Amino acid sequence: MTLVINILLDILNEGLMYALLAMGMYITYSILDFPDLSVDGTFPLGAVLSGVLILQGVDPWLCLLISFAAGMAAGVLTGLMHVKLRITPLLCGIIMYTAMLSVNLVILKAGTDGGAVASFFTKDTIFNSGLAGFIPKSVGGFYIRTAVISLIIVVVCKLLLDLYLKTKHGLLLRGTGANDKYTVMLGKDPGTIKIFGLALGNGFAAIAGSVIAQNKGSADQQMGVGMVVLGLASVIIGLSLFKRVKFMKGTTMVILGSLIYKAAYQIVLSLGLPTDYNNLMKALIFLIALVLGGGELKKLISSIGRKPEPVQSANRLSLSKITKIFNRGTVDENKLFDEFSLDVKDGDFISVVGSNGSGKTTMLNVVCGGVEPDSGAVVFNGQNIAMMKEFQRARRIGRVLQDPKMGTCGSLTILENLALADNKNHSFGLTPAVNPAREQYYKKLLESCGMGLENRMGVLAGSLSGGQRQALALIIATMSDIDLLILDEHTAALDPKSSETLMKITDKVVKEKHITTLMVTHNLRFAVEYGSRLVMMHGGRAVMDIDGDEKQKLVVDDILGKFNEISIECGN
Amino acid sequence: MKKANFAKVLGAAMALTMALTGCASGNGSSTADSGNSGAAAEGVKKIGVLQYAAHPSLDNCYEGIRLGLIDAYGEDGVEIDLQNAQADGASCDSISANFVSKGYDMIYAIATPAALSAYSAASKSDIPVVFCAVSDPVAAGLTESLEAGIENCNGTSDILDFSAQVDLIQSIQPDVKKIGVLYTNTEANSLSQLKSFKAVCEGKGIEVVESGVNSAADIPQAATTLASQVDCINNFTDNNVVNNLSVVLEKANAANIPVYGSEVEQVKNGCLASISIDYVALGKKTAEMGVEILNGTDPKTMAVGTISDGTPVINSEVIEKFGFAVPEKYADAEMVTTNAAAESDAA
Repeated sequence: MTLVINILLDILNEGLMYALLAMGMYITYSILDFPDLSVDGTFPLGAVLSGVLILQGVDPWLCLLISFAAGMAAGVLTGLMHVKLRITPLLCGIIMYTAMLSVNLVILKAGTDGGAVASFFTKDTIFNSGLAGFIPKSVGGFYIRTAVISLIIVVVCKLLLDLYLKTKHGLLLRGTGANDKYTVMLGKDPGTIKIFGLALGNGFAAIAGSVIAQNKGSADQQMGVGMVVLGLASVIIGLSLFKRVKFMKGTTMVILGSLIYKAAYQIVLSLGLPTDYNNLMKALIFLIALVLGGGELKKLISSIGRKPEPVQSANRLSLSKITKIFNRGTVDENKLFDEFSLDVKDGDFISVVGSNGSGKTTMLNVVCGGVEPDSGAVVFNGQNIAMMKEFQRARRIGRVLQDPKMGTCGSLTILENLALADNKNHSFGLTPAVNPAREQYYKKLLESCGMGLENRMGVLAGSLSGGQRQALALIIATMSDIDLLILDEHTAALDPKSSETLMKITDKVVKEKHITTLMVTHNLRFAVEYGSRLVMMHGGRAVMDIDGDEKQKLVVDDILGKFNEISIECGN
Repeated sequence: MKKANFAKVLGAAMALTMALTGCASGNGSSTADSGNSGAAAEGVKKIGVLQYAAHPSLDNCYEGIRLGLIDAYGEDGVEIDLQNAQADGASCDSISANFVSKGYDMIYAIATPAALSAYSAASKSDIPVVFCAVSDPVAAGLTESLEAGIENCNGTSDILDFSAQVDLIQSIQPDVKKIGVLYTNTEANSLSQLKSFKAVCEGKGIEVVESGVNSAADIPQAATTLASQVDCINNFTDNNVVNNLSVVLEKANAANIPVYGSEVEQVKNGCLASISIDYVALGKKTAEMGVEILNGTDPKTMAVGTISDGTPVINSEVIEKFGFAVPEKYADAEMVTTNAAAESDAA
């Protein structure tokens, strides 16, 4: 029993001391979204500075504050590198960490007359003097000073941090981390705020270093090794395990995360395996903790062993009795589809319109595989594709999305994009990617867009305008032999002229290649003018389905009435 | 997850921790030396040994400690839990904390970083710590002076006789002008040894070129640069450098200069020569001190233990390769040859 209590006490001690580091990384990593690797250097800065000062007899509590200030200074430098010199966050941290290796060494050598370790077992530290004097050394045979003092420090720091985060400046920090353009709109410089956040985060890391060194009785430069991993693990574990607990603050979550991390390590030690395997076991335990917290395991398990039901269909695509409920069991539960069915004949060019939330995009996602229906069948080319992954279904399906950036690779040239798409359904092996013999063919494809892209094949796709990029995306989607084309509001992000041009190209391609097409659009005029069939969706059902001659005779006014009716009904 | 689920998970985690810590025995060692500490017989001494890294010099220390303890208590009278920190400071801390939690009768710590961790953890309890092969215990704060210890802590030091070492070097290479020293910035023993070594060399008119590294990753390049600037390289008991001795030897050989070791195992691994301390004997002496402390002697009254005489040892293959002659003075030096693989004497 003594052993168990000692071990639990160890977990408490370690978990609390390192919780200070976790709180620091909570600020930089979680609030500011800045992966700060400099803590590997600022943590020992706090340790080493405190060690050297304590050797000179400086008050140990004052050392905590001095370490905090030093950490803040280092954080400011990291921030300046990022904001003023525009160096990426990861590199700023690495540069600062590297510099700190020398700084810490110089401090150590200066303070210990050339030594590499500051040993101060016999000096006053926060754990053996001052406040600690009021706390009994041990209770029932268990040494409790570390736990009590660490608890006091952690609680005070946590309360101060929580208080700060509720102030106007704290809220601004959180806002900057979420969206720094918002800060600009408020008339403040996001750069300055980020620098402050980094200063705060590193200040905490330095305090953590000071506390741990004072507990240990010595400080050396090696103490920083692995601190980023430790801090980050605590933060991530804490946040992912407790994010759904509504009453808990972020600071509490990361403190618990730190305790759980240390507990996991203790479990590993207690398993009695050869110590060589310690780190592997640690990694496994974290993986388990994260997976349990994320719910991915449930999904994985439930998908094993499910087989698609065999179905018959003569249509190109058939959605049969699709049911989908979102947010099941919560206040926001939404039964979007209730045995929804839709048959798409070969050669149909269906314009799908509907109010917001009617299920248009979800329906496309069900077909493509992005959303799994709770029940029902998706039959494509006579096969139930319900169990097929998205990339497997994509082999016979082309897709153009709303965001022009999503349909092409911005950092590849137009030629490279086309070469890549040209190889769809073939092997991506080690033969040259771009085949000069095909370039003529690509030129012809681009010519049909009428945008002059055929003369700019060496240009990066990222430098094209939205309309040009969508045209390229359309060519790419229809280049290979496909049985179904999905257009998900593909003109929505374009200006009127580009939209018009793109629709004309779309119509041409679909007609020339006789591709069965499902086009979701907000533009009623396009829906009416293009396509062989029109489906209007509302509340997960098709409230209008017009085909053949009747569709050709449609004008916007015919459907506008119904459209307004359903839009007003759901408050759009 | 909802409150109910969260509570369940937390409860399960705690139960798991307690179950595992409660019923697992203290096995962690991969040698044949550990028993199960769960059911120790009365009177059996439970000893934790923390070895900083796995290189032959430290392995020899452990062997000496083990032999010394068996001598004193018999095979069945002592249970040794050997843990290796793999040259990682954080591991030292957690292993030490583990030892203290298990309430061992005594903790042995081999090498300075291990000793610092062990002392820090044990000072919060009554467990005495005996360090082994700490080059400068005074600088490390582990002793009051070389004649008196501090509360619950004492041990042995592998103070190197640099005067004898430099004599050896000068005898083999009479024209030596510059000796290179590769050391790790974070090892306290290395820095204090560097100071002493420099003082000795100054007296003999030799210049010391020093190169400090931070980690194993820095060694190859530092060694290459250093080798190009000096007539030979001399090793201390720097754990990081000794751990990576093969790299240093490779770079030195490429520059055609010899490396002098600080201990016989290093010479067996390819160093030219050394005034070597018998680390096994040092380990035994450490065990003897520990036994004395367990029998009631106050560590504060004990002097730091050392092995006074170093014996010269020369690698006959290496000296031939460099074309040096064995100096007359060292005609009865122990001659060794290079091991095919780095085997240590320890079991």
